[in-house]
Amino acid sequence: MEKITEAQEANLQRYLDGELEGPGLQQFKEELSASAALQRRLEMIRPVHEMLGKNKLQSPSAQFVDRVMRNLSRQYLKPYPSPKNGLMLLAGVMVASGLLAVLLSAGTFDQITGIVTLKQVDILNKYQTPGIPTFNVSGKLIMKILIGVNLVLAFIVLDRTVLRPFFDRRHA
Amino acid sequence: MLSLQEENTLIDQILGGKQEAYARVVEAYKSYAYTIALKVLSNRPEAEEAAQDGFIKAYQHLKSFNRKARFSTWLYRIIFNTAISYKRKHKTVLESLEHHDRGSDQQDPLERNDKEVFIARALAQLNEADRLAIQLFYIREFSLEEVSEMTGQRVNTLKVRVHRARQRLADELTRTLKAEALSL
Repeated sequence: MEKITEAQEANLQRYLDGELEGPGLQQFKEELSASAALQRRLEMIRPVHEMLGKNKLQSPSAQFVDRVMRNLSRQYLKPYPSPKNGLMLLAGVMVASGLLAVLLSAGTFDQITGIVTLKQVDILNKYQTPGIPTFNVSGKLIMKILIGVNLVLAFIVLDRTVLRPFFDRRHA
Repeated sequence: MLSLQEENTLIDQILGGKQEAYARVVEAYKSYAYTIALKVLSNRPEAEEAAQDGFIKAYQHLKSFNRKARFSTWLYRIIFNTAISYKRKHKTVLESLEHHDRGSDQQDPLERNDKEVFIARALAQLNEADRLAIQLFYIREFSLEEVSEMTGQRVNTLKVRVHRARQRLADELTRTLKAEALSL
């Protein structure tokens, strides 16, 4: 059975869209009259093309313009993340903070301390300058900072997903 | 549709504080805006709401319109994006295309050509991007370049989508007609 090449299929589409002209159009017409498969393919695609071509512009309701004009000064509600996702994120942040607080109060991080001295870093020794600082690192302090950051994050999530949308809607 | 000069005159008037001039803009583009929203949402009340919101957004951001493109192109993009975000937000259940065609021309389904019904069904089965590309392309007033500006897709990508969708619809139509013939 005769098959249609990809190039013929592409030309068929361009023919339907009226993009073929001049010698290209003439050549395609000759191919079309010589190929029964191409004619069949055209007959398959033509009804689709014609039906879609009947697409008309749709009209909104008669009050459309009035409604738009009445609402022009309306404060447009900013898009917020969904409250469901926000509350789930908030719950995750709170659980993480709670775990850290429990571990902290159980004294898990009390023994984690150390000293970081920049003198140990070779590259700095090369250009050594007097008075390179030394830091005391405490696991307890790091965890306290993490809990603080988590609480700030939790407040931001609560504000963006629950409080602001709620007050914006009330205000609107 | 407004000419470029009319558009610019109206925009100048609106920016100068003459709010009522915007009514002419809305009147001129309401059908285009509503049709775009309807193609995206396939739901009349939501499409109307999205088109209204799009016009309000366009009005509120009119100062940022830089006049490099046509106002209509800028507006269609806003309407398209508003409708897309409505779709994401409301997770619209697609009405069957058959149904909303019926609503548009009030035609009795029995009077409709079988082929049209089959094509409408096949259209609803296409993937979202191909379906939108072919439907916006076939709103004859929009050029491929305008659809490209509106959707943010390249012209060539859109062309491929339109051709592929048309082939699939033709294949689906042939399959359905064969099945119908066999069942007789």
